[in-house]
Amino acid sequence: MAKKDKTDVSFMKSLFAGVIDQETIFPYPKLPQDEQENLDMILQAWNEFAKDAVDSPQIDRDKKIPKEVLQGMAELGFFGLSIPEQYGGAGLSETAYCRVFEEVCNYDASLAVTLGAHASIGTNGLLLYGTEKQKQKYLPKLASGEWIAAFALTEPGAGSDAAGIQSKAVLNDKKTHFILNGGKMWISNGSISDLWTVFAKTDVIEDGVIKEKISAFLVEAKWPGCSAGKPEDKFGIRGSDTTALNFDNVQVPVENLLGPLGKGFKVAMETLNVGRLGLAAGNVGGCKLLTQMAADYAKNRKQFGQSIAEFEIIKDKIANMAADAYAAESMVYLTSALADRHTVDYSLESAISKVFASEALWRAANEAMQIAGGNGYSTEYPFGQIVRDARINLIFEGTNEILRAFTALAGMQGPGEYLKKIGKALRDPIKGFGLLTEFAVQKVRDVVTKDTLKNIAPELKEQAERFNDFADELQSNVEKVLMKYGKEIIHHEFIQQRIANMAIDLYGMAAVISRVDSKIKDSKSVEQEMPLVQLYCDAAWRRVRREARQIENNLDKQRRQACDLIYNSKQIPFDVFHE
Amino acid sequence: MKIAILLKQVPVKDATLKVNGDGLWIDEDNVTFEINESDHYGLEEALRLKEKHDGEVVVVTMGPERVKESIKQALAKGADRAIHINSSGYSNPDPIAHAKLLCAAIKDENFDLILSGLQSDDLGYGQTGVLVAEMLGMAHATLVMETDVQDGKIKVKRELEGGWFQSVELPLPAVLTIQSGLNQIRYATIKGIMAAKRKEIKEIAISDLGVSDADASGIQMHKIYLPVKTKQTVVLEGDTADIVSKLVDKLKNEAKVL
Amino acid sequence: MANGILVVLENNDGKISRIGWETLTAAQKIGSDLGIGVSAAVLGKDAKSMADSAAGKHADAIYAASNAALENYTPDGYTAALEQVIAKAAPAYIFVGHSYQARDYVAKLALRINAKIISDCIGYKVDGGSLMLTRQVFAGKFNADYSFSGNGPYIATFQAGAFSADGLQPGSAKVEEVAVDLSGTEIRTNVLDIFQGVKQEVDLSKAEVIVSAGRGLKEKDNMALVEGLAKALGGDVSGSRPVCDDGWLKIDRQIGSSGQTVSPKLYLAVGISGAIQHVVGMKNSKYIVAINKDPHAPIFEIADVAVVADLFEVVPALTKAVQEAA
Repeated sequence: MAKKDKTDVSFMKSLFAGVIDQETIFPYPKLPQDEQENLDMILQAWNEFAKDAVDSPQIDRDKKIPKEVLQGMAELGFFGLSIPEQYGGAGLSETAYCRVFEEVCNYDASLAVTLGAHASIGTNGLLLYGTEKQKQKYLPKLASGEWIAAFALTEPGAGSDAAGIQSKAVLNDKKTHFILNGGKMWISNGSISDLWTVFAKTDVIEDGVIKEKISAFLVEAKWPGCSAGKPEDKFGIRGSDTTALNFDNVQVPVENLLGPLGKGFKVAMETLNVGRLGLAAGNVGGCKLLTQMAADYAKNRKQFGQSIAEFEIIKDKIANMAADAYAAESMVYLTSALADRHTVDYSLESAISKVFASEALWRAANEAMQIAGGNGYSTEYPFGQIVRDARINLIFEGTNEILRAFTALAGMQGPGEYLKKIGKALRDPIKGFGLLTEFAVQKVRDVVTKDTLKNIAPELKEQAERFNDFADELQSNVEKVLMKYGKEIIHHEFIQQRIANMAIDLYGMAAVISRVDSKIKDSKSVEQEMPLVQLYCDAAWRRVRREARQIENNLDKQRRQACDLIYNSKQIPFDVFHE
Repeated sequence: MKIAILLKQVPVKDATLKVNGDGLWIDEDNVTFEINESDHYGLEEALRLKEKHDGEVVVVTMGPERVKESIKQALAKGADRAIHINSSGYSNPDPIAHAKLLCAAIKDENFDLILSGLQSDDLGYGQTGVLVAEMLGMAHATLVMETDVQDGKIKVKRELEGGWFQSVELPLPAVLTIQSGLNQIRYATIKGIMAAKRKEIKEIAISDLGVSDADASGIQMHKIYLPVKTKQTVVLEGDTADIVSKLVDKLKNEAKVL
Repeated sequence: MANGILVVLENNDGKISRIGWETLTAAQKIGSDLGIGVSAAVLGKDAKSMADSAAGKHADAIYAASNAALENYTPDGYTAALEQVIAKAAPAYIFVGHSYQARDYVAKLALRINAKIISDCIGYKVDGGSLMLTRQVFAGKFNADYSFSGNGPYIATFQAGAFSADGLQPGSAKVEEVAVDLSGTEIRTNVLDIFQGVKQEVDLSKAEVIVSAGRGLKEKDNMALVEGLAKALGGDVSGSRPVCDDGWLKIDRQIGSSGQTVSPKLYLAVGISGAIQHVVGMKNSKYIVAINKDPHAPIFEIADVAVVADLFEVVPALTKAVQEAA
């Protein structure tokens, strides 16, 4: 579990400054044997249970997870996965939690979302910022599954822009309670949960001036004035409970303030850092499962007198799916291990993992359905449900657009400070990314020589060289755009996106190289994964190169013009029949 | 009540197996192992008896290093401790020799009840429980479908053939071999898994059991091999309509039922 | 001096059971190949009449071991009684059908008389005057050849159906009563009751066509597929043990070692993998069709027609085609 005070180690933030902090990600992490054994047994218990109890199409049809399933999971201890043993949980590391979560996703996405909303974002605020008293009061109930948790940040007017929160908590005259009013929406577990981590505006006095700042509260669903709306009818993850929440003069005891007054953003962002990683792990599971399902389908499907698996057009898809899955897995479990070190800032790596894994999953779902053809489109086959279930991952816990902006801006903050020109302006690029200031690049890069990965196994020579070249390219482009745009970079999302995309694939390459290099140095054969490594790394550096080239040489002007054209017309302003 | 469960680890049911080089065992590479099915039911029955009557459940296993995984699983489900006879490098096919080793390892424990599965899904002799009973001078019942312990006795329902059952009573101590399906096997809980780490696994080498004729065998296994098919099997696959038309033809002309 | 093979003929409620005759057949064949004689023993409260029923078979002697303590089978009683019969007959080999009863006592008997034992055999070879027995290992995935070593006596048990009693040689055997003394034997098992689990309402042994359901049907609702096909074929429905255990089908329609043994003209196995326990109950069917997605399903080993396909596609289409063909 991440701690509040991080040191300033961050692999990706260093990379933005041209420093390859190799020792942070080499060798590729491994769970201690003891924990690995526990994990294997937990996975086995889960598989035995889930095979008997979880019927994903049924959950989708009924838009409901059967009580017995949740109860069964609670009895097995799945509601307390990452809660420390002293509070009745299993005390799993983030890595082990992610692996378990992956396996839960393999059975049903609604179930995984329900579990994640509880065990990850629903509980992590309390774990990170709760007082001992708060922990003792709530964690045992959450660990046993007697209580279910939910994370309540989003509001009708505050989606990606969390700063737009309108819910307000006002301290009463006796200073015993905050009176909470307002509402939330899209809250996973809304109507089935008992404890909500709620974010609301509070009055904070700073320098003698009253300012409205967000604070976090632990709110019990049973308190008078708390209510949940009707479950939303969703496109996917239909079995997960998503509702609005309403607060009508809810009296929240002051001891239920979570974290310091006015520091709610920090609570929310830290919680989401961890949450995203779990999500990414779930997506990895989905990628692997879909690759297998698509391959099985292709092997069994005969057309033109042979199994369609033999066709190169199918092989192309399967190979890409497998390479993506391999890279996503490499990224997620490198990041989870960074989180488990408690001393590393992994916010960028977590956002990157979520973006890459959710998009890899989406491509995989799309390709798997394509491979299954007409059958894939029939509800008799599982592919349609998977497509629907997978789609949410691009949206929730930070849309991928917001996470790209975050990756680029938070990444550029270090070099920004290094450049001593615009550091301050970058400190709060988007309200809500309040954590940016914690990082400062430790090593000041030698501007003359390019930093490189050292002592990489010869099998990975080409991949390492590409990584070195494009890491350098990232740094020089970051410098270039910072010089060019200054603090205005905040408004240049075309550029941000390109920088972020470079960062995403560079992290992917770094993770894959670390993983394979470590295996080689453990004297293990890497023969079977080398094609995946080569496929991913080749595609990755080509994407990075394309993004880099487009930073200067692009059609952004035409993009703006095209949008103006559409925005300024009531109807699409072209029609081939009336020209 | 002090209960032993004799538990064996076998390849998972749907494992694709290959015969190994010496033709006397399978190639264990890439094979996943699990607790033998009827032993697993036996473990569950042992745990239920303990929950009802108090006492202790001890897992007794013979096998190479890999069986530790199954032992830990049994401990995670609630067994109290384990005895592991490490048989790495031991390859005597004789069930009598196996039973002697098991008895040597448990004779001083003075169990009230010893459970085992009916039969293993590897060698499948179906003798271990009965042999152990005779060697330790205990009464036994096989194919047990229900247990009921009272006043130093145990009443069991035994499965007979053709849908018949028998109810018999035995004095304790006794050995029971358990038929699959008599109860519902529990899942290991995460708490149980964490607690298993702290439980004792006593490992004994075969040479430390003091069984002088451990290597003696009254039977010899010559080779294992894929069964030679006695029947010519026609395989139908592919297009459903095609399968069905061929099948109907066969039902008409070969099976002659249409 | 050891002589010949002694077969233990299983007493099934006062009659010699089918597996007893099958084992006697095995003994006649093996005895002839080894050039040794065959005798048999039958145990019971009054074993004479059962022994008489075997007198018309080819054997040297039928030993009738009667004792009031043998009214109900108990492992202690049977072991002690057989020990005495064996002492008298002094056989080189003892053959027993691998029935549920045999599983309960034969290993104990082996220890008692210091015999070697190979259980659950399905075939044999005689090579250079020595006996090689075949048994299944790894849940039927492989066969294994075994032989005895060291001093006898040697005990072998034979799987039900491994030998057909159709091949039993007639002859004339002398019936010899053996007085067994069980006064000094402590019988620790107290038989309280023998009862039928579910009243056997359905006798499938006469059925001509049987459509049998396995776990591959996934859920109870899908049993309708099997019922529909059985109806179209004018046959009966049966199932494997898991299907009956899960309550998809009444237990009296279970085929296999703990259910019924059948040999219809057509046995159509739907979603049955073919565990030995099931196969034992149906392998003598005249024509076996198996539908299973898994090309490695053991059921295909004994099938005449192996349909490697999704049963949810094939069964409805087949039902329709059969209805049209009829």
